[in-house]
Amino acid sequence: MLKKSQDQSYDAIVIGTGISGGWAAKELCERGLRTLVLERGPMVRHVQDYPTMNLAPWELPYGNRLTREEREEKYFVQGRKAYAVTQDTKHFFVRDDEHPYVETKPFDWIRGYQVGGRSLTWGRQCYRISDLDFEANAKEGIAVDWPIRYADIAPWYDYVESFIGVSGQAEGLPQVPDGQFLPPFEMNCVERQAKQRIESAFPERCLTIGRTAHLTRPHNGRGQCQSRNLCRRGCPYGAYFSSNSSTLPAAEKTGRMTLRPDSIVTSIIYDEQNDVASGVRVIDAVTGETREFFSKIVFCNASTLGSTHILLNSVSNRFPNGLGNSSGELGHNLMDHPFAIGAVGVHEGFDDKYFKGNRPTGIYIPRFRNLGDSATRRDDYLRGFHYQGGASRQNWTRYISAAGTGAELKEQLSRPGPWRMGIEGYGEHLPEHENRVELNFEVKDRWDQPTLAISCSHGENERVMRKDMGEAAAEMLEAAGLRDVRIFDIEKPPGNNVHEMGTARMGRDPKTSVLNGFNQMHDVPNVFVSDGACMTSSPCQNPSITYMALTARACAHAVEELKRGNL
Amino acid sequence: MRQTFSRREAIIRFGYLTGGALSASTLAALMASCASERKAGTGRGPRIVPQASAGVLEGLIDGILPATETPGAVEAGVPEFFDLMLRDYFTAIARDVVVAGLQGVDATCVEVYGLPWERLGSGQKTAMVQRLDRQAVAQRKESGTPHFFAIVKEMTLWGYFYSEAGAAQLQRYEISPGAYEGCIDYDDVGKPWTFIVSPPNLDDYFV
Repeated sequence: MLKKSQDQSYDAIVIGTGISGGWAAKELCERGLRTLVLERGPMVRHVQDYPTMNLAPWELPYGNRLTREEREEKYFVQGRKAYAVTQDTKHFFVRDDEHPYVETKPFDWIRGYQVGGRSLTWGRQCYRISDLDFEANAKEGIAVDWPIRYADIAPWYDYVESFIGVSGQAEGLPQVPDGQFLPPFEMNCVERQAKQRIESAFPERCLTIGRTAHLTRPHNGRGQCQSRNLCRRGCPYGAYFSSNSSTLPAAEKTGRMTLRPDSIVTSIIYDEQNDVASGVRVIDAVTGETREFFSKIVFCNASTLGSTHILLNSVSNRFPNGLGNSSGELGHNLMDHPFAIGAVGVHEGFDDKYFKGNRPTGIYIPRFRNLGDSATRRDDYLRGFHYQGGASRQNWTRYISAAGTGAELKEQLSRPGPWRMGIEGYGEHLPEHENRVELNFEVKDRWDQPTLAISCSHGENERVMRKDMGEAAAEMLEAAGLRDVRIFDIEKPPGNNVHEMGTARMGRDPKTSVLNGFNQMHDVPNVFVSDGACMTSSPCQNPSITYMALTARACAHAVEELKRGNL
Repeated sequence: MRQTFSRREAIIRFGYLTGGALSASTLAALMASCASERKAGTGRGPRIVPQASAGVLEGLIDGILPATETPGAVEAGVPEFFDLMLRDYFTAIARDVVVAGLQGVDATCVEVYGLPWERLGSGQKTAMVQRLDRQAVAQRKESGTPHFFAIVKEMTLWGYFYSEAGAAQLQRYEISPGAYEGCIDYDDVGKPWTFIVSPPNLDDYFV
């Protein structure tokens, strides 16, 4: 081991700069810790490093589509995420030829390795999880109980939402609690009418505007959303939340952050004599040089599978199966939301109505199944789902498959098409021990590190729920007065929703969980995991805001414990 | 009975064309060079479409989106765009379908009008384009396999609406529209908003 020097030792190390890593950096720095923040990918500075942000459509090569070579050789997994990876965003997604993994069962691992991680390209939808979700495992005898309840996290949702800015409409629903909201985006004419009709046909249900991490007025030095809907390129106004626009600048401002991109953490150093994690081992992504860094606490925020990969790779005499893995649960209970099921229909009328701008959120229909009462109870499946979607007027793509040529076609194209509305379901995935990741030493990456082998599938509960997701969607769109209502059901393997979570779950009992109620490893108290790996179940709500809240809470606890001399 | 369609249908609609489940300054430079390749009038001949079919291709593209008060697809650079896509985007299968289809156009013209494409009158050319369009639509419905004209048409539309003529003249282009307004009169806008395919988008599942 190298002798420790000033630039090797810190109060805290944060691994990862995405949705939760940026928050760990901010909180630890603001609370007084000298913090080394390690990111495996390259630097991306807010605005300066968004090369495509202002490109017009005619400045995009290949009509913004990936080339054959890109689809087949460079982005052969990332390209499976429908239209996510395009010419203007591909640089924020991993090159699959450079980052192999093993699909023991089909799994679409969609990743971004750069400063900011997937906070640059995420969907920005933010929904709180509730006690209906926290209590479900215990009530239904599934997996293990969450070690926290809504009351523990509520103030932290307030805290993170207030900082980042989330726009939305308060609805007073217990299953998806209201947040600290900036003014909501408007619904368009068809959505407003659909809301009226659906809520009148189904009085217990609600159709509301999406709750999204976009600023509908200037906030904390960032600009108001200009309705470009080019978010994944990076925003010149900083109008949506990313680490780059929001939390990393706050951490930087303290003067206590050292941000080191191109730094791949391969394992956490476990000091067996003193029974603590003492630091991390790093490979420089560019030079291949190895280094060690030391700290009093370590925060794992390398993304769900990134963190678990590091932990599995951190072996020692005490932890031959991965750091903090006395329970045997590390790597297990992987989940991802089933989706790509819903309905679409055509809405007659409103031909003289339109909208201004490209709204970066759709509408939201909160969960209305299995809410704990007999009226919403389903006998055929547990848990529930929500819908995202919206109405819009058809654009020029409607003529790709419809008949029409010549001057008449141009005439038709000079006006928008009819209104259509669609809603897509996102459902919960029950935790199963068998859904897991393991290290694979036969397939190594370019840094000679073992890769991950992923074995995960949706089960019977998801299959039965999926059928209801399609039928209930169609039923509601028919009630909204749409015609030609059709269910769509497109099979996507786990991973494709990009809400992969679990594999280092929180729980009350060290024998059946990896983390305690403060995201702290039961076995190694100075190691915290507060990204998606910590999730004990996968409530259907988009999870990122929950990772932010858990991270802020865990950081406060970590700093308190340091002050008390417990760490 | 409510109609359902499946992933297989989605693949048919998207995947058949592509054969699959369908460092910042370098990127910018690459984009600049690719974008410049599709500008009209570069004087470079087609690479994939045989020279003998270039006239037919251009004629079909013009027939799909001719010049009206706004430029047509030929002026917007679609023939060059299409050739680039054949070279770099499509699979060999799609290329073969297009090349064979274009080569067969003359034979069809002779069959129907007794003359090859180049010697048809403008009304006859229009009728040919409409005929091919109907065939393409029917074939998509019946078998899901690509008719060469469906590929030409999709790329004509795509290339046009990713050109300045399509994106900024036939549509209304504002890169930063400002605060979103949900329910306004169409007449206050006057044209369709420029549409860049951008997920998540229900259009992913429908063509």
